[in-house]
Amino acid sequence: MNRRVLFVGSACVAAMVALLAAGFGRNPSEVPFVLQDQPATPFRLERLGGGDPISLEALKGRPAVINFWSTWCVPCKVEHPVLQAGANRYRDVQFVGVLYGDEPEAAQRFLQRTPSVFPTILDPGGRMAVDYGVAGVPETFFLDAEGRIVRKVAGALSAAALVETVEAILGESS
Amino acid sequence: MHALRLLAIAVMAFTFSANWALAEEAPDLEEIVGAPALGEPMEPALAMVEGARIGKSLRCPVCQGLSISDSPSEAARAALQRIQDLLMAGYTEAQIEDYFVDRYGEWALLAPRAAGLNWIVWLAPIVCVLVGVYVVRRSLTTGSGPDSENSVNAESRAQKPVDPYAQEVLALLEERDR
Repeated sequence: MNRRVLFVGSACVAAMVALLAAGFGRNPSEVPFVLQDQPATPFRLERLGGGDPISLEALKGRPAVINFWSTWCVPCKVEHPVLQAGANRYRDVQFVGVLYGDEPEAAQRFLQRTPSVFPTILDPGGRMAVDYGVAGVPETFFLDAEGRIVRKVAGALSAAALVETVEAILGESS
Repeated sequence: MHALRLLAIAVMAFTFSANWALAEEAPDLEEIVGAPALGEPMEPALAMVEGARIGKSLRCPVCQGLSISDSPSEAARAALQRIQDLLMAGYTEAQIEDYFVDRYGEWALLAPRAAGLNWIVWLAPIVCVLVGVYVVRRSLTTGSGPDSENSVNAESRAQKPVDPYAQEVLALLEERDR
């Protein structure tokens, strides 16, 4: 009897410890990325500052980097020069910013101080962000020439991550 | 009169072609989510109420354990707006759940679906309660009363200790019981 109780008790404790270990090993605030290799959701949105709208269809044919950002987000400001340098270096890749939860005027003021070599589109209501499974800013999506999502980087994009991903996409498409 | 009629037809034709051109250019919901199952659009006021109800079961992507309907965050409001768009376009609750699961994984659901390994989550509490009830009942029926005392004594007697002092004590106890 005692041995049986000990065995059952130990099994319960072991199961509980395994469950807790699995749970504590995971970041609860981390949103899983399930759009890997999925076709990107179509969009067609107005540019910040006017001009022709930008659509996913128009981006297809060349790899694209879509960056969700806002002026109230500090990591977005940190990664801004990385994206600018990337857009300057990789002319065959289309870089597009998506303004997330922010006023267009605030974005324009920011871009006057720190100009951008690529366009930003407006996402009123944040529908595109939901379509892309965005869970905060900054988030950067890398698309191949067919419009498939190759990778997502949540948080400030590093130069190394940008170079590595873009080179991989360009390497595959060439 | 004839000229007015022609003008009216021209205006109608222009409006129709402009709308058609816009509809062709901007991706509609069917392009994003697929065809709606119901096909009947919901009234905006009803979509707002129904959307809030459905949003209660979906996790806010930027909050800790809050639903989309309970969070005042920008992301939650955008998601709630998307739910209302889908309801007004005739999508079902199951399709809306699928839309979020396709983008955020099952993480988006506050209550995991009762399927596959998720059954463990649903059944484990019931199993634990049943096991607990069994253990308590067993200890109540066997743990109190004279029979259990005897059985404990018998069990302890059955175990022969190797210590000579304990053997002596046991022998004295057996003698007393006689």
